[in-house]
Amino acid sequence: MAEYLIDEITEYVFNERRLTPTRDWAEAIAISLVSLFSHPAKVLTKKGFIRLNLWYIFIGPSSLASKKFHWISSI
Amino acid sequence: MRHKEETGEKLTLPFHATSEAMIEHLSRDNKIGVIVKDEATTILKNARKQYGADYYEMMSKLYDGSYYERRTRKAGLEIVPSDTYVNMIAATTPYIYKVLEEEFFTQGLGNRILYVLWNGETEDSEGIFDVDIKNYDSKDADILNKLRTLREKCENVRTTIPLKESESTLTKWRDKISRIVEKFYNEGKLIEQSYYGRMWEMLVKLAALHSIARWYNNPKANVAFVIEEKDTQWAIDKTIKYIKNFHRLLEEWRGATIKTDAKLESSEKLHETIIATIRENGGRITKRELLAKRNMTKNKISAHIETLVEMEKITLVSIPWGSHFKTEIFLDPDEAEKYMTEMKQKYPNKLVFIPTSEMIRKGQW
Repeated sequence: MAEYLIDEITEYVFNERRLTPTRDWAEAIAISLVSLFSHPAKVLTKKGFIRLNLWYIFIGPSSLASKKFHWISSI
Repeated sequence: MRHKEETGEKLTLPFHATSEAMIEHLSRDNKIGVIVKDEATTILKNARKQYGADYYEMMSKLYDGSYYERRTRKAGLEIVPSDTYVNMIAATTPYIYKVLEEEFFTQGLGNRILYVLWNGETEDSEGIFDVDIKNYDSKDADILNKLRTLREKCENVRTTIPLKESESTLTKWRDKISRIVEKFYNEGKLIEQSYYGRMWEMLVKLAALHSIARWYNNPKANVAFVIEEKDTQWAIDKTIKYIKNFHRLLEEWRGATIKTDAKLESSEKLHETIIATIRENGGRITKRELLAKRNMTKNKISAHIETLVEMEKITLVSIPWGSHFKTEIFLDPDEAEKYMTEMKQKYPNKLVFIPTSEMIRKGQW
């Protein structure tokens, strides 16, 4: 079992389900899911609170920017 | 059992083409979720064609979770509550370089995004298109359960993550990034300056998420998480990678064929005309008919056909025919598939294929 949840989801999305063409894109999906379920956690800095939401865009050939990552919508 | 069926909570937010529709959804339905979008260029096109900078601003405020108000003729003043929490996972083809404009960054939306760029090869040697016959329902449920446990802990602790800025590596990085921002400012590199201006915040977010994902395995459920050195180092590695991706994006965007707005408009008009011609012809047309109707040569039309294929607006089916290709163009991909099956039966000894954008670029269609 992966030590961290981000690693575990990355492995699942990339190696087991093969939903993404690269590990980096699988990791982005994993980070995004952890971020989504971490709400309302936030970080307090001297400049105020930082929320933990993130936006990602993958740029690749059409055959690889596959719609498989829509898996998120199905869970 | 899926999350929505079990809890009634939708994880995904719809992406609406207009700010009004997006605001209406956030006011009425879920305020927390992820936008999953497979054609990210829609965001740029909406801004360019219909809604201008106002659209970028609306998207930026969605990211920030700051409340948004807008007066419309139809509905008067509309307000999105301030507690929205929106993530986005979107993909696009390099077509984005043709529609990207400086305002995307200078307004601020482009700086709120982390970019993942294809590195030129598929890392999965066995390929991602293998037929998948396994049932993953139970494994999906396992992941979902872990995420729910995470949420439960976050809600119980009502977590604010402590950050001892004075002692932290994060502080050093904040100063380092500030110096780079200043350097870009002095050099008049506005886009780089504004992108780097967000990077410390991104680093902190990533470090915090790593801390949370690590903390998830901690049996002491009530211990709040703290950003430790290993979280920061992990986040630094990721941030450097995202910054490199940003520079590659800039290079590829600036290196792409530079088109003036007028030229781009004329390209878009031609795309619309091509689609209209196919539609008028019953949703399909041969290459020869299309060239004749548009009075264009294959060489001149190829770049536009390539773009339309990348945008998934059309699908081509080609058969090598002597020294040329016999090609039929379809609006409906299912019709193209049907036609391909028919042709394979009709010409069992010939190669019948769907040309990729790269093949079209090379004239193999």
